[in-house]
Amino acid sequence: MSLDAALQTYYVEAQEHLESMESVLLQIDEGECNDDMLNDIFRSAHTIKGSAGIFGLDHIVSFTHVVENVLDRARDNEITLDHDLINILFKCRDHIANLVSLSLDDFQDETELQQTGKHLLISLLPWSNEDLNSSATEEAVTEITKQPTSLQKAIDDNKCWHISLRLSNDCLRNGMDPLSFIKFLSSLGEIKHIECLTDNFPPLSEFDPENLYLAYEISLQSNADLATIENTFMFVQDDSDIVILPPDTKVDDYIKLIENLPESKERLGEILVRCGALTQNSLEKSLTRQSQTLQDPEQENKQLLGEVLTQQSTVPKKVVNAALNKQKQNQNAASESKQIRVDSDRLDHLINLIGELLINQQRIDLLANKVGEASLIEAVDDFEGFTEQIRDAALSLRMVPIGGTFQKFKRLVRDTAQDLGKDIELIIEGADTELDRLMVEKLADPLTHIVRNAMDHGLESIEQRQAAGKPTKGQLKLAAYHDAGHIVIAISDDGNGIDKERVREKAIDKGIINTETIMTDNELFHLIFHPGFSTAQEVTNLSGRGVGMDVVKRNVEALQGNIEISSDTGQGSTFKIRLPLTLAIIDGFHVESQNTHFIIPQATIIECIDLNAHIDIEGRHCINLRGDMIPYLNMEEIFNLTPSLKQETDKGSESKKHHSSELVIVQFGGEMAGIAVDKLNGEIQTVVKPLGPIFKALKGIGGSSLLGNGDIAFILDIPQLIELAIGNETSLTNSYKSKNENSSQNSPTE
Amino acid sequence: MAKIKITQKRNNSTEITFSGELTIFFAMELYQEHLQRIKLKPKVIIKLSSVTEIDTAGMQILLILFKEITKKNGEYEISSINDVISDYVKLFNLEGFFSPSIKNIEPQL
Repeated sequence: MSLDAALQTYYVEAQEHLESMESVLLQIDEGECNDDMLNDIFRSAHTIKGSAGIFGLDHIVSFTHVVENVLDRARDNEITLDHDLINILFKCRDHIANLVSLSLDDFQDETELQQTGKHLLISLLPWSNEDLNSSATEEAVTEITKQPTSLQKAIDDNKCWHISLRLSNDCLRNGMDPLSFIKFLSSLGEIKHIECLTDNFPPLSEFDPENLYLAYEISLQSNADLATIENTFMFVQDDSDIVILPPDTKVDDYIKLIENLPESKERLGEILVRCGALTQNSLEKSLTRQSQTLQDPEQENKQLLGEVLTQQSTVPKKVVNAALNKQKQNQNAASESKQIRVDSDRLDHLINLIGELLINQQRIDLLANKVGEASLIEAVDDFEGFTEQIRDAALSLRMVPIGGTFQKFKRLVRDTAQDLGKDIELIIEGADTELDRLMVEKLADPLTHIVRNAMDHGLESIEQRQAAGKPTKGQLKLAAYHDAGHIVIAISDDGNGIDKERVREKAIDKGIINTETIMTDNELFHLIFHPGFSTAQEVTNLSGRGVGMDVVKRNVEALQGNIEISSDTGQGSTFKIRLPLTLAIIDGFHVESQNTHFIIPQATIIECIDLNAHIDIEGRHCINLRGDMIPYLNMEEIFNLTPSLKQETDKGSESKKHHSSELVIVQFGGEMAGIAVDKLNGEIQTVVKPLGPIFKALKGIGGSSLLGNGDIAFILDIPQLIELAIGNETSLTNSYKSKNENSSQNSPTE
Repeated sequence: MAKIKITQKRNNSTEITFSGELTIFFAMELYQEHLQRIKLKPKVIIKLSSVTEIDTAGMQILLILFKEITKKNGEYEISSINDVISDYVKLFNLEGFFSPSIKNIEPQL
């Protein structure tokens, strides 16, 4: 039903407004405060309230109204947003977020939340509107659960607005019933009179039951401002004629309204009299005057000028504000019209289909080459170009900038720093780096853990920092950037760094390693990802329970990424999370070893060289590449591939003379390694299919893919392979030799 | 669902009974299937007590019907009404349409 859809839109929009409120509050908290920002935050609160009113979500309306009130005063420079108020406003924002997540019925069951709301309203008292003296607000606070609208009612009796509604014909069709506007208006004040005009009804045979023919003249008693009333009709502004006349409008303006409306003058006059906007007397006088002026063009001009002036002098501020709001809304509307909200499942489905398309395209490519028809091959080439473009376009649909996720940490850092009594500044870099939406979602948790850890354990207290001669303000940096086909997210702090000795002691203590174990720094740091490991001396409510870092590692690995830790005692530590750009389809390089197909992710490849042309450094599985020593791995050894019959080899005795002739040099995170294979087959678009759980333990394989000819290719997990290659190389003789022996034993000899 | 029952009576009158949801969702159907080419006798009796819901589109249906009757110099009578309708009527001050002077049914030649 359309109302449900509209409600859904409301929730999404409210969420966006809450997010923008948060970011603006953070900016204000950092000391930047200008009128635009105050306007922004006010408008957010205002829109949340206004739209909630349309849907009858009174619990949101009543609470947000008070917040809006305070913000309005701040906007008018009656109060300033000091630190205390900002703290309360943060809580209010959270409370509104809670309210938005609940339906009205659920809210009535949540006594705790109601209490929170009351406390917040009471704490807002010192700043709330002076019109509402404190007792009135308190009254409102106590009444809030019973009668949410009482707050707006009891204020000003004298203000009667006149609203003339000629709504768009499509209004009903678009799911907007004037009934809902009237209901919302009655939450702003009291509706004194409504007059329905049925003059526009066509003859029965031309009647369109889904068109709106009714016109309305409404007299509303309320002390809401013009913008508030105007915003009621926000959703129907386009194509509608809405005239809102403030309470003290001059008779002439009413006359002008009558002139501009399509209905007959006399009838409208009567209606306005009935609405109480005009008295019979003044109407008659004005109408005569008006007809006189019509006869005298010169006087008419003066009259009009006079009207302009009276308008300006009576409601200058409100009118200007409303105009400004309107302009901004129009801008918003323009940018919104360029966006479509799409269910992410549909996108996933599209990507899956494109995956199938790619496999089929490769099959056609293969067949075309077999047939050897030149024009067919050409056509297939064109086809390939387009499928590639389709793939890229589809994948980019899923990409979102990481900035949004980073932005959320500002609040977390602020609150946590306050709780810990530390002074911490969050620096964000590369907020517009884009990555897969799914990854952004799954990253939120690991990032939170790391950020919390950094604040709790990494950054020192103000005193400690002073003692160490560092600036009192600790720095925490979130950065995102591209690196070799991967996204790197780096979380760094300038705190104390990881205490290697303590990590070691603790690990021995917990029995994870024994006293003799020799470990590199990197290995030592990775111990903190061990389940149940925590070096914090005491458990705080933030971290130190030893759950978290293992979850971080698991989450990141589930995204086919890895974490790198570097740390200098006293200088700080950096966590680098490396993630593939996307999980669904990658550009791969198709290689073959012993008739088994492998895919190397294109982005990791630096170059391909002829292995036999390079000298193998004796016993170390390394080559000398332009002066650099590069370790390499032989695919058939790593995966114990059975040599095919025609390629007769005797590896046991002549390990140097392996038949692998090609070497692909790959790079990941600053490390390089070679992968030796038999045959290079060239670029291929690879649709990544995850391997089943039983292959989880298999190191070096990240997934599988179907080739055009129906064969299965394994996608190499380059980070793991590089680790393996370097491991082999550094642990020199022992492990390498035993491995070599193993592999020669395992490979069947003829 | 909205339902409409139109009975042409012998005493030169038409009885129209509305029931169910008189809303935008059913307005088109009601109009196209029943009202667009409705035959109205000079006297129309309208029963509304079984209407469970009404919105602006539903109200417009009633209003156009009233207007059509009046245009053809006919008369109509709301013989039954309920709170759903009367609440809406009161809110929008539409009493004028809903309490037409009820005249005796004059047998016509």
